[in-house]
Amino acid sequence: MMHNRRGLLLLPFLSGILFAAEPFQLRIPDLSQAWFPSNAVVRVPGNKATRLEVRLNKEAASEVQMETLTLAMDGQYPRFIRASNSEGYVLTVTTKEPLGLLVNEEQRVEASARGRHVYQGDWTILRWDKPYVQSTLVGPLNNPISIRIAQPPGGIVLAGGPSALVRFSGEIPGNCDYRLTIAGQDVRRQAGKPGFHFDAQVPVEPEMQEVAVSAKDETGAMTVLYLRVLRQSGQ
Amino acid sequence: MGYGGRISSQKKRHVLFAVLGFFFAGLVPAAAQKPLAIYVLDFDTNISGENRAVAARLTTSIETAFSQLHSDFKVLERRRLKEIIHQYKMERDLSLLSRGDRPSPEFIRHFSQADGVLRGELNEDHLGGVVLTLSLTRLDSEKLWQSQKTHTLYEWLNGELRTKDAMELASSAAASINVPLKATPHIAEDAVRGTSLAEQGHCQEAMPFLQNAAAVDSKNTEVFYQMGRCQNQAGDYEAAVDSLRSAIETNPRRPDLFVERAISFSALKDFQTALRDLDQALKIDSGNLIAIELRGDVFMERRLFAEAVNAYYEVYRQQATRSRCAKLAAAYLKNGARDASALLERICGSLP
Repeated sequence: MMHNRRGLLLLPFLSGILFAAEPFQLRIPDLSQAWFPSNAVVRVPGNKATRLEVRLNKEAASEVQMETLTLAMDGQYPRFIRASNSEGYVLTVTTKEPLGLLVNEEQRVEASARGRHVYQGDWTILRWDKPYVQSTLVGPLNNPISIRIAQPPGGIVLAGGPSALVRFSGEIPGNCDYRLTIAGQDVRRQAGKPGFHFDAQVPVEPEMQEVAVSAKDETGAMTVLYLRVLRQSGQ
Repeated sequence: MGYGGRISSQKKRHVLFAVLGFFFAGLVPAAAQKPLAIYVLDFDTNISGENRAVAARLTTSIETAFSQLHSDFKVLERRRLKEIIHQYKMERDLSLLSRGDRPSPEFIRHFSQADGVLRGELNEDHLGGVVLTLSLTRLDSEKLWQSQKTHTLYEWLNGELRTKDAMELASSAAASINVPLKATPHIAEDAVRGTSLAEQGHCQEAMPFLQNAAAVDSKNTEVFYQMGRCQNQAGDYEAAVDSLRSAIETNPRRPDLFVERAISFSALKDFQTALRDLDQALKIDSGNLIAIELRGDVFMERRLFAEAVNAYYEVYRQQATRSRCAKLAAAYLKNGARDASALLERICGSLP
């Protein structure tokens, strides 16, 4: 029986746990440490990506054989390694090609596994000119949320000192009813300005390599930017 | 009894002005025909955190702007009133004054040189703006001039904008108090004309006026400063060092003088001395971004790339511009951080 859990999970009332509940998630470690839920449109900078990981969560992994896990990129089946760990199954694709894995402007990654149910995940990966990664999930109304970052300039976070306060400002075009979090901290819209403008000082801890700027609405649409933190050391 | 009793500092200041006003009402000579001698007090602010320093920087910009209007203002010193009281051990005098008794002759002597005070308050409002209220008050509490300017905090952090605003405010104050100009001697005209031309970037035309003025007025900081700037621009670095030395001798509290001289030393490849001047500038104004950036330039010349990264990182973090972005990217690259360099290069072009 074909059972696509994504359909169920996109129900608005479950939107709050959407990311956590997606059985498949994708990561591109050269570009971000974040896991992107299936169905996401992921915009990435033009940096070389030599590794791609797809994981199936523990709950779903308990219902399928690891050997049934497959992965396709633009309809091709690259060489991958399957492994299991405490969090479920992980598929890893690596390349030594000079241009890396993401050679096209747009790429589609699909993963599937079979057992008692069929699990599927897919992602659209687009290149863009920004220096950070953006993951977008649309809600049932097909409404992507966009976040415009004014500060830090270019979306690169410079955080001097052990626990620096960094200014984040920008705008979420559309209505005012978003929930915005920056580095896990709730940020409210600026009173006195139309729409959803934000301007907040948020602490960036020394161990943070990127700062997640996440906006979601009540329909389940969600967009997350993963802004790189650039330290004096260059890391 | 110390100056720090039970009433708020603002009230204390009002009390002090009122008492000083009462005391000096008959003593202060009319300011007509001579520049208004003023104290510039450190600005009050309700801004908290690291951005609080913007109030001090703004005080410096305003003080500099008022100092440059020689014919209208004579800036005596920029201090917190509390500091002045403490330094000259005037707590007792203040107490006497508060009771309506006569203070000591030292107290009278100390303040009698001033005609008024320039005070500023930089306060964040609830709409996200930061309002500067600047007022010029006689010691007899008569308000001579007041003006307000509102920017965002980040606009106030912009040094160029700050300087421009400071000049506008100083000019507005000068026009408002309507101090009649003294019968300006020829040499004073040269100084005014020379500095004005130099500020507008017409160094070649400015130099003869500046040299005339410098020849007869060896205490005019601004004349020597502008000469130094013009000489730096013309590549005459040794002469610039001399001019700026004279400027610093007359006012060792202006960070821009040390920064300008550091430019001369750096061009002469005397990096050690350049760094010493920059350190001095930063001792006076720790947030002087031009000094920090110039330290980065000197470190790059000396191939101290890690130090250059630190300097550029700081200025870029405070105020991101295209050129600072490019400098930081170059320093990262030289220091072996290729990824960081590439990351920045990606955005430099989009910056102002």
